[in-house]
Amino acid sequence: MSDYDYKQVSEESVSAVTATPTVDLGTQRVYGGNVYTYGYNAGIVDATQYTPVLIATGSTGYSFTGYWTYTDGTYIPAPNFFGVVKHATITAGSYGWVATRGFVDVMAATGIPDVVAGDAIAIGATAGRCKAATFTSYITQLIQNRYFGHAMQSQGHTDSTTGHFTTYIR
Amino acid sequence: MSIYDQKSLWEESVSAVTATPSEDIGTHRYFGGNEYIYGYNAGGDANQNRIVILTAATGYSFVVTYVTGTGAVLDKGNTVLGVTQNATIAAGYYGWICTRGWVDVAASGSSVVAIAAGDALINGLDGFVRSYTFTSEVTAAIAKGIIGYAAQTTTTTGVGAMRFYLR
Repeated sequence: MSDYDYKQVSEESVSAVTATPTVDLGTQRVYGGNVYTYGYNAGIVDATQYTPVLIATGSTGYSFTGYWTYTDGTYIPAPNFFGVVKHATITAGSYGWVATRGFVDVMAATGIPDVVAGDAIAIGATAGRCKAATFTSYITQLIQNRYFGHAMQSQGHTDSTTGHFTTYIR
Repeated sequence: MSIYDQKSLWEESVSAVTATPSEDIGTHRYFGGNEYIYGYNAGGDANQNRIVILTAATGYSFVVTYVTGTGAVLDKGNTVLGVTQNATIAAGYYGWICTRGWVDVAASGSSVVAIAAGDALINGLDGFVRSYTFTSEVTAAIAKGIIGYAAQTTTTTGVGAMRFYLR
């Protein structure tokens, strides 16, 4: 392809995970049509591939957690969606790139209706899982736990790590 | 002046429309205060000032025409990519879609209420924008998402470009 622009040079893959930071926290980067933000896993669990992560409670910057307690039908403090771990598990206490816009793969939670292409997707009840935000009874809840993207594929509900589906974060 | 950033050099206008890609699909770009993403028109001609939606999970392919309805409809597949701000992008062509910032977009015709400045907007039929003002549309608005707020007032039959801020 012809060269039509001046592109950035990055010395690190967006799948890199390190014990010490390689760039400033909060650095934004565009790669492969996606936007990534560099952050720190301040949670108590590893943030595995295909899972959404939230801004860590009390965080003053781009620290996130892949763990949350959430019960459908009840109100909880707004889970501040940060992005999705798109490429590689970011272990607890490590630094890595989180996809904050673009196409990502996520997994559906069990015990919810199937996800249909076009559904709004929100944080699910189970940490690391998502759900279709199409339930009338969830409307009030969804105002607080706002959807973060739209499903580009249909997916039966499953807790299997192989059951991920593509979602677009605008 | 101190150097606080690096600027990009571009050899193509954001209004460029080509039969073959001149950039990688999904390239992001900032121009005139707006953000653009480079994409491919997989549907019919997308006239200037129309909303386009993504069509596939594989990348930044979009269409302007889609089947949906007015009223309390929980539309499927209305994943808004952005607006054809600068030029018509013909079917099968590549171009820049404005994804953030100040844009002009055509308002829906009949069957919807007039748009008042400040109204929350959602995507309507065939690339038009329409006001979210119906109580019965709460579910649809949540599912589809408010894409911006009108900066101008228009009528139900207005088909001209209307200014709004695309979030």
